[in-house]
Amino acid sequence: MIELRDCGKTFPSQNGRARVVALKGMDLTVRAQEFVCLLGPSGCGKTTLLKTIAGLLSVDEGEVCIDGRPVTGPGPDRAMVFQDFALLPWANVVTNVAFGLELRSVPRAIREQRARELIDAVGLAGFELHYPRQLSGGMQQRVGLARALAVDPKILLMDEPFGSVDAQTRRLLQEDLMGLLERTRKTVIFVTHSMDEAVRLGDRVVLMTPRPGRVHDTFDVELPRPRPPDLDKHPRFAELKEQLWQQLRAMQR
Amino acid sequence: MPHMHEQASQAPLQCHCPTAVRRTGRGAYTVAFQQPCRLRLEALTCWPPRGIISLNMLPRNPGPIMPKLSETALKMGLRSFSLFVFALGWELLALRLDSLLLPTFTETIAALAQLIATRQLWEALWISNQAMVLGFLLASLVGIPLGLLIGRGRAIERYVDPYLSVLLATPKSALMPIVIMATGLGLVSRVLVAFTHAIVVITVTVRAGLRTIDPTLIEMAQSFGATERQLWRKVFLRGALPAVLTGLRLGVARAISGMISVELLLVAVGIGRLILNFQGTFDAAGLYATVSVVLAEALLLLQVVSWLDRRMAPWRRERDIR
Repeated sequence: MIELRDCGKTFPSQNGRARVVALKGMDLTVRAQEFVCLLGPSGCGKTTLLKTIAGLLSVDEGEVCIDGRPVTGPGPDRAMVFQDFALLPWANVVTNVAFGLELRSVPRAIREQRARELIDAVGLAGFELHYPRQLSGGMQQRVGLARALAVDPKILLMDEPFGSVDAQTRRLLQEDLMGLLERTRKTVIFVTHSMDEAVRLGDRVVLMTPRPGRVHDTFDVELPRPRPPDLDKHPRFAELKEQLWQQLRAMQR
Repeated sequence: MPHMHEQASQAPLQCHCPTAVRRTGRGAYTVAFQQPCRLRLEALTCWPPRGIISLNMLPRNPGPIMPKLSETALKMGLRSFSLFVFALGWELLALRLDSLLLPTFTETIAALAQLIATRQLWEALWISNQAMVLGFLLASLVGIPLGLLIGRGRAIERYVDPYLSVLLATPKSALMPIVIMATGLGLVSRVLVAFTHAIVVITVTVRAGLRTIDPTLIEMAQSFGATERQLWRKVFLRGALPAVLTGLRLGVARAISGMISVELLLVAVGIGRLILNFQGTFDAAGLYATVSVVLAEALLLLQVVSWLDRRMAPWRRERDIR
């Protein structure tokens, strides 16, 4: 279980005078094995929030707890998937997928075995020895996903992971992610810009307001799992998307 | 897998390079698979191989090797042709000017042949290169760590940066008299001159290379719990490798120019002395021949570093800093 209590985070801005309040009075509780989508306009602190949970940033106010223990830094229970993939350009797919394990000093034979399993699971079999720049954006993010799953984290933190791929690839990646999570249930916090994506994937959608970033509203998705292929025709799907859109529009005004 | 060959010629079985491909001879390559199986791959157009090599490029029956003869031959032909045009132009210009300052191409070549036969040249090269190599090695040993340190530490950078910029712009020759005054006319002073010529460019290039590493890679490594030591080993040093090699290449060029200038201006030994001797006797052909030896050496060294560069950093793209 992840708990954020009254979290605040302020950044000094570029010129050093004004300060940017990224988070203020942020409260959020994520249950174990829940899939929570963070939705909100740009600059509402979604990524900041994710990084504080990852332990890459510390909060100025309040506290972030995982299973009751405060977060003091990155830990083996969490793994992150990045928007721009963050793959090592000098390493092939196997080495990239095994990188998290390498940092944890897992012996080469074992980590490469594990990496190959995950490469297979994300549908990249046959591309083990390719370098990132030889892969398409969608394939690169599959590598990023495999790398995160390779360390077998309890919590998966995804920062707009499908934001920089085209629409069709995005749908495929979404389906494959759901498939993978059916097999190994994980707590997922998924940052996205897309209302469609939030409703399609999440158990719960958390709508955030910008400047300062805080929770505006939460929506329980209440759609069946595994998600049916004709989800688009589901009345609840359309209804939720409409609700989210109304709220977002009101926020932008 | 005995049927791999047939399979390969039907389906575009793709293999990755360059780690999976090794050159086994002229125009012949071996492709390693995860399964214990080896295939010869003919007719690659470039080395190291880039991109994806499809095995359906393989001829069904690997007959006589047919490298892309036309392409390489054309390149070689164009190269020698441009060399020929250059030599001819030189020859004609020199004949027309008939000046003491410009020997003809043939005279220069003759002088070069004569020069190579003498002990004098090789002794001069030995003396000059001692200083150059030592100075360059010293500059690398200091410059690479310094560049890494400055590139990583924001605080250090703020204070060191102005000096680096000034040093980059300073004509290093201006420092030579001071070096000579401080250390005398021996090997030490020449080493120091080569050192001062090479170090700044090495430091600056390495620093720049470290700065080009994508900050999200650092974040990624940290999110997986990388320690500072692991960050250095697995991200910074790997990521800065192309820049280090570029820095070394630029450093070699600077060290050579430092070596020659100190010998010409202050300490008349080695190649510089040879040049001065030819100058004294108005032997332009000998002078040109000596300079061409220096050029040849510089080119050779740069080629060695370029080769290292391609060997050690095959992932880098053409548009990276060179």
